[in-house]
Amino acid sequence: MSGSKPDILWAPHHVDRFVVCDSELSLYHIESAVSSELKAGSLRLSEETTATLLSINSDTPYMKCVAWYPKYDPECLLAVGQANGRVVLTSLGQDHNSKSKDLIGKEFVPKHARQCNTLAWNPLDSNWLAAGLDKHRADFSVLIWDISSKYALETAVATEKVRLSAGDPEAGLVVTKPLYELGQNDACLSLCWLPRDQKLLLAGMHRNLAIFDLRNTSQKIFVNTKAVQGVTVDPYFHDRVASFYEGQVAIWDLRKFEKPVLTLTEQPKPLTKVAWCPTRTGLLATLTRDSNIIRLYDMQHTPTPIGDETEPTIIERSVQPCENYIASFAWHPTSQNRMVVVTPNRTMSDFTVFERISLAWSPVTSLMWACGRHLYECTEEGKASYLEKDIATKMRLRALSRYGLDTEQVWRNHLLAGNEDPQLKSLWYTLHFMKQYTEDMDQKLTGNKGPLVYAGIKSIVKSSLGTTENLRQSRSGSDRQADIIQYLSEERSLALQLCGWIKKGTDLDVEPFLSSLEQEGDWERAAAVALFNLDIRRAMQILNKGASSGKGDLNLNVVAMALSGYTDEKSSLWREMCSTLRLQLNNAYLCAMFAFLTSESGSYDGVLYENNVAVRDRVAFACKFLSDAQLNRFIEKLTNEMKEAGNLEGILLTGLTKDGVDLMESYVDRTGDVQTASYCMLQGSPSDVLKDERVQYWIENYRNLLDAWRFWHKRAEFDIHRSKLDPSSKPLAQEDPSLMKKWILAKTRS
Amino acid sequence: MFVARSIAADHRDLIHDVSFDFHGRRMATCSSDQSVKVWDKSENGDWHCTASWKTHSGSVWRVTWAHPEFGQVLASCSFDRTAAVWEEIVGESNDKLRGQSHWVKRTTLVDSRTSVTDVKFAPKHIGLMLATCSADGVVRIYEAPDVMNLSQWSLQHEISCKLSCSCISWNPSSSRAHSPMIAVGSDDNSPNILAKVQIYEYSENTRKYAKAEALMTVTDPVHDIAFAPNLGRSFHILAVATKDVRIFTLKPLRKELTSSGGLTKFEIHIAAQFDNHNSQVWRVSWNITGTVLASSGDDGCVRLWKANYMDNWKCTGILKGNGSPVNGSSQQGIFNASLGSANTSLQNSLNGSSAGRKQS
Repeated sequence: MSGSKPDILWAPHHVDRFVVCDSELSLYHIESAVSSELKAGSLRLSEETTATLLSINSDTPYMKCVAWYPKYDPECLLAVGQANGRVVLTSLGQDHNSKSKDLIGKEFVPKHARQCNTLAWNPLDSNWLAAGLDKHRADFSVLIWDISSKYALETAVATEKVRLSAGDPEAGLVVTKPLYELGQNDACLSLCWLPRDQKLLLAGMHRNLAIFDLRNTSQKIFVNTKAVQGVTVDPYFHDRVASFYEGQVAIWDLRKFEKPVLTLTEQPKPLTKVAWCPTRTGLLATLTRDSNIIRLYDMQHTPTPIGDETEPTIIERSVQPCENYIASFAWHPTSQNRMVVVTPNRTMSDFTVFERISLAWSPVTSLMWACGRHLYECTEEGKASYLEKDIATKMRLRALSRYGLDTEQVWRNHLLAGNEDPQLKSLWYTLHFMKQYTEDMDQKLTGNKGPLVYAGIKSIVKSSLGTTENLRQSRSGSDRQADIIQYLSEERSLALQLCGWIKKGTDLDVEPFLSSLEQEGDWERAAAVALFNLDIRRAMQILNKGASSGKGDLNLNVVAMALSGYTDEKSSLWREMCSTLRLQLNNAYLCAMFAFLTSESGSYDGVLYENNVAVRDRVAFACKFLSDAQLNRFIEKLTNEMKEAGNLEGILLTGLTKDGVDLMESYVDRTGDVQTASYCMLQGSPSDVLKDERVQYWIENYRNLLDAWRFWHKRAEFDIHRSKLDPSSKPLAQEDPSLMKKWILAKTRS
Repeated sequence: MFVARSIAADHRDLIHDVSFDFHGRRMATCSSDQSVKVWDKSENGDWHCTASWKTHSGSVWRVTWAHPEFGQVLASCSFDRTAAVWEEIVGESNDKLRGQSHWVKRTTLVDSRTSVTDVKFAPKHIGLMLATCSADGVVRIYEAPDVMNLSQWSLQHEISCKLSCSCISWNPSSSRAHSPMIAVGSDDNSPNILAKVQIYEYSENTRKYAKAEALMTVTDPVHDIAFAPNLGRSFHILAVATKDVRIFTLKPLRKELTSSGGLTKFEIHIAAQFDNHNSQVWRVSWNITGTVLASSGDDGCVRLWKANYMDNWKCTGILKGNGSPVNGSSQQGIFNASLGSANTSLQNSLNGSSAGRKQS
């Protein structure tokens, strides 16, 4: 505090007040204020706090150091050490009780004028004020004043000196006789009282640290060192002391005072302040000249007893409370890890040094963390949409809704899963159709395609090579021109069944499917399926119905109108228009319809690679219109795409085969949804896929999740479900017998 | 939206670790006050401290639960150079009547010559095993051959990592395709370019742990490391807390492609790297499915990270350490944004972490 650089001090008891001192003393009141509102005359210190200037005291020029009276009352009593070595008691604010009236204005004057470097109130006997002075020949440099000294008595003794010194009008207030005089022929740079005994004073002298014992002032303990500035005692370990010299901080243990117990990494610039955090053990804050960084040293361990050679762990951290250089800082006396910093131009900011946070997720997706001495539990609240939810939450909810357990109406499982995921919908419909077909087979006891069904369309189509019949038909359904070749075979119709287009048997009627789509209001899809079955009139009818339905899209009428103009003419205006406008349609099914109508015979890429058309519809389409060779190539390509992407729609193609497990593996890699993976693969049983290590691993992981969530009943249900579908699975996981006792013990405690 | 509420922890000093049991119904905390506390969740969701006892003669860094199949068992590690195993005593006692549980020390593991910085139980399927790591750079793996006798632990493996160890994580995968594996992080901050994350794998042939991988791109001090719950994935996910948050994926290459030594080779990708904390990242933790990562940093914030279906990781939530929400503009808070881009000397100063002893 050389007049230009401000220093800052918190009131020791009235914790909403602090003083900034440079050439004058300014008392501020700090209060919390939510952002945006700022009272007139107050300064914002942080998002939450503002400060108001309460009073200014400029009575004491040439201030060199300031110390706040350590007791609760009087409230705003300060000792100021001046450049001439005098110590003045002064006050801020209005408290004029009798005690402070007697004290304010009192001056303590050394024999010889020299700079006062430091002041320290005795924390127990608050009448004692120690002052450290520069050297003056053989004079003492540590003076302990008794502020209760009766000056009336002193005046008689020192009248002459007082008169000499500035001819003070309030001469009566001058004290010249210290209680103790110490540190003869030396300089004192820093002082602090040792909490372990009120008569012990630690002083940073010219070339040593010294402990003065006031019970016997002739003796002192001292250690030679350069680190004599800023001596300060750790408030949590009274034997630990920090001091500094230039860029280096030395930490001392008073029990083995011969050398520092450690020296902190040297900083490039000289230090200006070092202070222990008063609210937390072992946190030392340091500041260097011309820096905007407060460097913190976290000494998180109990100081070890003498003779212990362990290396202390110190975590070094840097914080930057503001943009500008920091002139000084002060820890808040009670608020955890809070400090106010002040810059040379007196801007201030209030900030808290965060403790390092440790955290842990609970299995039921709440997050617990510890910050300092506090614990916080964080849970997700409010209704997040299903899509935003994490898979952990989804699986929990699905387990509770009995997802996967509907073995009769298999498709319904997608409803149990929340009816929001198109891939799950596709998957469960596929599994449903597969199951239906197998059951039909069982009843009729005919055909040999049973085992093929769960092998997926890819295998089915492969087996159909050579049995395919052709059928020529016109797209318009009219018999005018037969430009379209359709392919038929037993396997292809089986594939169409799995796609859901047709029901059992070789009857190729799509009408029931169309009606169900109409019921769901899926007009575009229904129209497209009708058209792909070469029933353009039905397609137009569906679109008209869609347009006139409750929340129908009137544009559907326009699409129907466009359809009605269909012509086979290769070079017609209609074709040209449709080809270009098709790309502007938003709905993939509508696009696919016009792609189909405008396609050259035998080349249907516009339909087959329209990625937003459901895989099952594209596959059904391919089964109708692609030749064996084309179909195989297409299915192969699509299967690989689905596997790569882990897209569950692809289970239709792969079935529950090794290919299917591969596909499911990329799905699990992508989503972590072992629940769907487990239930899906169990549907394929009895089959080899359940022997796949990966499948067993998913099942194990899912059971483990149910265990972690304490869903004992759900896990039991799952195990029953599993043993029903997969008789080879062990009825109950055999526990290690040696663990049974543990288990019983665990049960008895709850 | 995440909402945080405060729980009266009543530790007399900093809490260094929080740990849930397998079911999330019990929780343990440990602190510089040398104690461990056990918390039980009541039916209405409140946490009650049911045990608190002095565990060590120094700061307790970490506490962790064994799988409940092994009983109610905790392990702790401390600055006092030891790790300890604790078991809850079952039976009717005065403690129980007062709603308190009673824990006894089953063993003290005294092999380390320096602070034991982390302790973790192995995944259940490997057996009752415990790994510790210490500031002198040694990872130790202990086993209780008889799960009924928790006072008998034998030191099975000592892995010398050369660098001061700060954290360990077992690979939780129980797939038979994956050998037991442990990742070790180092907070060594001497200026070198050594990999600060090493991965050791158990080899059936040699019956030893050997270094399978080192994450060469992580050269800054590492404060925490966590394998994600594997959940049936074909690859492993590893989160690293260093000067930023990093997420690695490790895909085991098929056995026929790996070298004859028997160690798995991995295809390692960095899936995400975030410096949003603008400072050292302190801890990382995965949710039960390994799909959401929580991290904490010296900016005093907790952040949540989640991958979308395209495997792009994004921040999905920020909360301040005191539980209050962070409002958009003030996100940087008092830890100024400029720290992230400041000059190199500043950058270096931020990277510092632990100072050794220097005598003068």
